[in-house]
Amino acid sequence: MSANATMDATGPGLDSVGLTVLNNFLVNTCREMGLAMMKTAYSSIFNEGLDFSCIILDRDGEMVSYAEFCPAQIGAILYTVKWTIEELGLDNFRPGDVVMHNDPYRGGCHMPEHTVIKPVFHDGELYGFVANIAHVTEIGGKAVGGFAADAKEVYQEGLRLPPIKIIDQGRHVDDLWKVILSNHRTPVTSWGDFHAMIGSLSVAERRLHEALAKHGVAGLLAAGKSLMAYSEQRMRAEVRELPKGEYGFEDWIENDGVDPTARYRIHCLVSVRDDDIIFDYTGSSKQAKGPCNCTYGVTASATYNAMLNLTDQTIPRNSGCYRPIRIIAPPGSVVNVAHPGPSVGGNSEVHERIVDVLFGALSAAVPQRVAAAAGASSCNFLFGGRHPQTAQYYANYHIEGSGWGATIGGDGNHTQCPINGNCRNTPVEVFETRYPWTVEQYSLAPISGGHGRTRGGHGCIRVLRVDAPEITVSSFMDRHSTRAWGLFGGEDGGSGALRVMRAGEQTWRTFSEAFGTVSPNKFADVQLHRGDRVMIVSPGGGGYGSPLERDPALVLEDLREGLYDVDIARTVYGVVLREVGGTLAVDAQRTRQERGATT
Amino acid sequence: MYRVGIDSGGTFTDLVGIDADGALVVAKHASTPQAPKDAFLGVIDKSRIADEAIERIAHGTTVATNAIIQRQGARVAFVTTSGFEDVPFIQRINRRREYDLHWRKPQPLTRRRWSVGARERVNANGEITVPLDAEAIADVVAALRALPADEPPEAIAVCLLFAFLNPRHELMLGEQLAQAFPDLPISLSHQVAPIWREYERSSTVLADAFVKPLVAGYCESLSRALAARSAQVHCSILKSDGGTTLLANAARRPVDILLSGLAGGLVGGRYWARRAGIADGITLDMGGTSADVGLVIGGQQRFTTEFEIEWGLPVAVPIVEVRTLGAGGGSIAWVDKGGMLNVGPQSAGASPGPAAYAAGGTDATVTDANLVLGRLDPDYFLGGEMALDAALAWQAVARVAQRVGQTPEQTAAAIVDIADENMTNAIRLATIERGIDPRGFALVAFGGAGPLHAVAIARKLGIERVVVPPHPGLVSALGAAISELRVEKVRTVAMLSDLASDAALIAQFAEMEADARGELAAEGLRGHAFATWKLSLRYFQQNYEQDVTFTRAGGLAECLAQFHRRHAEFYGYSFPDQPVELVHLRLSVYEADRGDAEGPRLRALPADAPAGVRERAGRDMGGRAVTFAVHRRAALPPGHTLAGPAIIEEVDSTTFIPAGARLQVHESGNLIITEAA
Repeated sequence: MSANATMDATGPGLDSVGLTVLNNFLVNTCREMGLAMMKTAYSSIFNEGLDFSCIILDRDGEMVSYAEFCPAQIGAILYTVKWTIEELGLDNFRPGDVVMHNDPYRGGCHMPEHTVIKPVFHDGELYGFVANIAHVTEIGGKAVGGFAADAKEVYQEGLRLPPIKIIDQGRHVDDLWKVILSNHRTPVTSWGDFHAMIGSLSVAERRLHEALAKHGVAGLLAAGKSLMAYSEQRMRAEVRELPKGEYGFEDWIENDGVDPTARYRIHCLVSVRDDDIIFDYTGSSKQAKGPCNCTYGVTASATYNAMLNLTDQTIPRNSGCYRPIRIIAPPGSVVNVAHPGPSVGGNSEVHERIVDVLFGALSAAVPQRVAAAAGASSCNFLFGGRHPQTAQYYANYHIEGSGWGATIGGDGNHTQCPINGNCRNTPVEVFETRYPWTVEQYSLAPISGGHGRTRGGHGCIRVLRVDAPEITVSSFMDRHSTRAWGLFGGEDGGSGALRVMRAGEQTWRTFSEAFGTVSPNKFADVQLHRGDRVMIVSPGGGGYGSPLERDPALVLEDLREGLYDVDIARTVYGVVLREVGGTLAVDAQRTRQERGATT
Repeated sequence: MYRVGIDSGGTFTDLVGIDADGALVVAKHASTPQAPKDAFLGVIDKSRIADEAIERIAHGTTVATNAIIQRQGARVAFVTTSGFEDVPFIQRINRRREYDLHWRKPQPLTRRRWSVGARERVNANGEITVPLDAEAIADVVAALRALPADEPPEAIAVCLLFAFLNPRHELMLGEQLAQAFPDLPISLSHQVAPIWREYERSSTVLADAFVKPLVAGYCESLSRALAARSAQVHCSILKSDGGTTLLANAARRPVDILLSGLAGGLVGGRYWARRAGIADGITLDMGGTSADVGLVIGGQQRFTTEFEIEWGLPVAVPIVEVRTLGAGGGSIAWVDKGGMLNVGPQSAGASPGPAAYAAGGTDATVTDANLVLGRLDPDYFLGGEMALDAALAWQAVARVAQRVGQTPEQTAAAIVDIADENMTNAIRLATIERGIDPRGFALVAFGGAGPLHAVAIARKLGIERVVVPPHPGLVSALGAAISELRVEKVRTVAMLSDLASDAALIAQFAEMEADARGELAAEGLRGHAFATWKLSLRYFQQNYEQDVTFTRAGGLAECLAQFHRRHAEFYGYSFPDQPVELVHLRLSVYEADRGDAEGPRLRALPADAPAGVRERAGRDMGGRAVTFAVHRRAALPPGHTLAGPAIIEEVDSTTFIPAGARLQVHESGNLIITEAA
């Protein structure tokens, strides 16, 4: 049979070429959805940040293809669509329907993460769904921007939507739209963003119709199952390659916004078995009062994220990848929140911590694949108010990159979006055009990357000055007292910080000092005024291997690039430098002595 | 008098000369990458066109491209608003691949230690909030002088926040730095790329400064060499936007010629599309290591400002809409751990090349697969200049076949099919991304390998017509020869539609056009020039725009109607009652095609081979044995038709016509391939 002939057949049997072709087509379709979303969305977190993901699912709710603009969402999408199908009933979907859903207890990540789902039919028969899951900035609730960092119940976190049809057979369900939009502080922005999400579904639906015309419903379903089986088989082979055994590791979340002294343990026992792998989070803390809890979807996302980072990147990404992965997350714990516990920070801050814990655990099994801990705080900073020039209400979800952990082969990147997302920063020129702040500084944070044979990346510093009569701010940040750990003798990264300097004052203080917030880095609804300044410092990543083993030539280059100073070069890296003709050079002999003496 | 195009490629430097009657002269000279000037002059000599007979030369060069790709440009000192010195290093904080801990951010075209802050500030309204005073300037000069002695800067790039709204501070710095460092070229961001988003603008102005000493040196050496010849020759460089610019201007704004080498293909492709009576075409220029895909819409090339040196290093100046894919004859077939077959993006390149080159390559490539399928003649590759070893190709493909459990012939078909599919997906993304449905387009295929794959790709895209121009390997040089003088201008306005008036917009466009016409006159424009006006529009709060043509008659109202309509067509919704933001005014002014909308009439080259049809055994896409009729192109007169499966050979390319397709030789010399009725 020729490849083409097989492709044209409607029968179940696509050969491997046909499958490659189909997989590329589907991934491409998901990317097209993402581009449509980027080009049309209203919020900075979408059009600059790209905080969304685009998915094709079959009618069983199995994910067939995926373009993960934001990896945090991958676990949730597996569950939200299945829940939706179960709750609404497969027979109740009609062509032209669009379902919206953001319920953290029905498979979602956290309340801002809204999923829109559209059924795709061919000749009257349901094939499956196209879906877009995206972080909507303003969702009502007690704090502008959806991060009520001191919330104790989900009801404070914003407007919760179980799976509901907001478009019924092509017609907007006006009553629902009125309810939703009158609960958001920025209804025009939400209107534009929701339509960007829904528009991306139309783009994907058009493409899927092409594939359905070619393969038919049965053919495309069968091909999707083959792709999933293929990915499952590949992932099982990957698991078989891992050294069998049990590997435990832990890390901590430093407070929850409600109790400033509490610490929450994230623990995982990883059991690598024959061709499956169990992630048991039973050793993790009980559910927190404040919103640093993960939904099951977040814990699953983080687990899958870690596995995809440690395994072959060429495995087609679909539900099959996850079948060899088993997750134990006790309900009522920080890794599986029970109703009505709050959860907004789990997706943004704890996801990263879980991934690091898994890297830490598996560093004993596959040291060459993992990275040291990353700074790994999204540095969620939310703000809103009336813009003095337009008199319109605005809201923004602001995030920062942080330093990444070093790997065996290379230094961690400086200031990069944490691993749970892959967002872009908002350019200073866009930021100031949209919002009434002046950015006074945006630079790398000195010496924040952990030292090592390969070093962790630096975090960043941003200084903002209020340019409006009033701006209301909220924060959900972490790793201000803990640090990103190094591996195999590498040093820890530097902590992050959040400080405020009131107009007319000269000192930086924490928000607890200046405003009496319960937590210095997880709080909601603080009013800042013209001339007040905020400084965000993101944490650095951990180092890998002893700094005394770092190539002295690299130490010299780091030094010339201003990443640390001569003292550190000598005391930490054991590299002695001297000036030759006005420029620095490594003194090889004294470096050998220094390193010999230190080790 | 001849209009001459010279295209410097990786292997050959090609020349096409066209005289007033449309007679062609062509010449080929081995490229001399170490001293590109030598091949440039050499190919003129080889063409035997006398200097006195040259009306003008337009030159497509890869000097700037190669300097950037190989990172062999100047040490660039970067001057920016104090507090933002790290912007080129922080970049946009996203990563190329979601699940790759080992990926490293791209290295920008400067170093952190060469990055200097200036105390100054302009705000989002373009107002100066911190004036740049004499002391701040003196501090910048002092900081630049204090840069490490063993690394003296060779160029300076300046990018201040919001300089695209108010360039005053950049101009002041530019002036003072020029006095302090008279030997260093200086690039100012608002002149190089007056665009929103500081990282993209920084990256662009760094690219300009990075290649400036090299490009300036190359342009000067060409000027000198030409001046030393008997006659005064008018020479210009092909710009990335497909227009041309004088040597002196290219030296001043080298960022404009970054894709000089690619633009010729698109201009040439557009020319042949027009000659075939085609307004909307996708050009596919496929060679050994890469394929360049371009768009021609309504007879015009499209422009974009979204080029990247590598992932994450943007250069935001107008370039022809060309997307380069890592897909060529040299793309390598490989089997993943699960036994699935993949092709590319790794390439065997020109060296060692495909297994069939017998130069040490053992990987099966797309070229090897085409040989196994009988689509290439091992004895007539590059007109017989290079013999291919069919046995080595077969062995390489057989090794892959063993791993996937198929016959070598089936595997060869699969390799070709996957390569076709990869290109198809890339073309789809390139078109869909712009809101264009490729199905209404013709595919214009050239380069050594383009015509071999074109019909299969067209079928996958739902494209009904394939055009293969005459001399597919010389389309780029031809494009240079017929390129027109062109100026592209962008002005950022950023205002809401209800505050704009037709009169004010027309006045602004007219002013931009007058400037542009002035520049064209200085470039040596003799005849007429056309102008098009476009508005870049978006809904307020969106961050990406859609370009819509502005006419005096239709005014803003017609633009808005068109914008809403297109938004609805492509995204399934529109908001006709919501405010629309006018972001940019875009202007193109270009030389009219000498009174002939289709461009000059070209005469055919003399026949390169005797006529006669041969037969060759080959394989179809199922790996089954078939017989191909093999024709020499020069033997096919205009009007001639034939049905596939067939192969058309000529010196620089091979066209494959699969079963079910039908070929007609167009009067323009183009091969037009459609489905048999």
